[in-house]
Amino acid sequence: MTDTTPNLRNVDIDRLGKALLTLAGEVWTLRDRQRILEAVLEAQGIAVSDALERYQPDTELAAQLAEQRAAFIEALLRSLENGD
Amino acid sequence: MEYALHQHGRAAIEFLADLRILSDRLEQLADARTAATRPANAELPAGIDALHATLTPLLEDVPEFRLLRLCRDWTLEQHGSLAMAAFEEIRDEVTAELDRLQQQPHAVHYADHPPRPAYWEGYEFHKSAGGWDGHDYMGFVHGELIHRKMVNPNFAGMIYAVRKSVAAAAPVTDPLRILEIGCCSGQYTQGIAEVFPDARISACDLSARQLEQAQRYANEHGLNWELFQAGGEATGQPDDHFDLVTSYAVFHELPTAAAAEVLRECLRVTRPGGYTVIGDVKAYHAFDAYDRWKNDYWNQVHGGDPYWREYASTSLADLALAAGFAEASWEGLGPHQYPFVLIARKAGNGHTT
Ligand SMILES: C[S@@+](CC[C@H](N)C(=O)[O-])C[C@H]1O[C@@H](n2cnc3c(N)ncnc32)[C@H](O)[C@@H]1O
Repeated sequence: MTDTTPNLRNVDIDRLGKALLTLAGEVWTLRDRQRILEAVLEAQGIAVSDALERYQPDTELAAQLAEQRAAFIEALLRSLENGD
Repeated sequence: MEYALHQHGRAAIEFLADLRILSDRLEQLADARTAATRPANAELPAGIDALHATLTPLLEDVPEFRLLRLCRDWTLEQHGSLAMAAFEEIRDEVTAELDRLQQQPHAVHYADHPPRPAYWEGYEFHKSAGGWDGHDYMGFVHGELIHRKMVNPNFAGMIYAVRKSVAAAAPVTDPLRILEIGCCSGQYTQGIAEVFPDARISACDLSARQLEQAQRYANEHGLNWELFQAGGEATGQPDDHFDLVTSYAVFHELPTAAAAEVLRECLRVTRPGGYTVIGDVKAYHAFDAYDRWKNDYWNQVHGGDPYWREYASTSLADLALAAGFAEASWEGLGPHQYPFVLIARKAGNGHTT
């Protein structure tokens, strides 16, 4: 038994599509910026790409990230709640 | 085994696990939003179809509920492929060690013609992309990345304690030989080994990839487990051989006919006077009506668990008695009646042969 009622019944699909494109733009900008950051640092003799890949946050940084991640998710959920 | 995820895999897994946990508050909001309109538990029908007819349209009309479903659908659909992608980032760093842990000292005994029952073959339980066997290191991907990193945080680290409580509920003292059915990557096997450190533990599963992860765990921790590929329907073990035959979280993945067949096999290999102890999720009759509907909605209808309802509405005690056990009880453990445990005794008081 597969239920196909849409989750976000009242969201107009265009709005959702536009929100997705906005998000994709943001994500791409971050990816671009991060790549530029690595290139700038490498030009100065600091090789970071591999270090970034393997960096393991210590307890303090992990806690900060967890807090910011939670706030980010909450903001996302809130905007979806209001958008419905 | 020590390993460290790369930045992308780590952050993506953390995001998914947090979204799963943080979106749970929407469930309480939906409960609260419908508290006044939804019939009280005493007035709700008992049958699951009637419950759906009453409650599903009511809840699906609540925006928070639909958003919750969007989040849960997304995390279910994404978690398997995300874990596999995280694995690819570290593949070159971990496979040498994963392979080494398989070398020795204990081997997995592979079946020449592994059974692949229709209910198991190709089915992606819990919508986990790749199923049990769909990747060359699926045991590590499932046992470590999915189970330990994504599922465990969601249960506040309780999933291992719950497993151990099932082994501890077995009414046996100093068992010599224990057989586990459906050991997967060895999570419950660890619990059994902790409760019965002196027993000889044999464990089978249909999935070769999951058995390999159990093997790695055993080798790493110096545990002498006999791991072999077989279905619980036909273990190939001698009659009357084990003091205890046990499993955890397997029966809710079996259609009733297969569950009955596995119980007959359990009976055959349990020694006279010995026990078969089966732990799994809570039976529907132990929920009040609203929670029963929720359990069915999120597991049977939306959780990718096609046999959940069948399992939760069929008395395992009746199935065990029909299989020929002398006594059987099926009850929930502790104040939350979770998990449910079948304790079935085979007639006689013979000793292990
Ligand atoms: C949810 S996992 C189980 C878990 C494990 N016992 C634990 O504690 O996490 C279910 C396992 O049962 C196995 N399985 C399913 N049907 C089986 C059968 N008929 N015989 C043996 N194993 C089976 C699957 O391959 C899978 O590894």
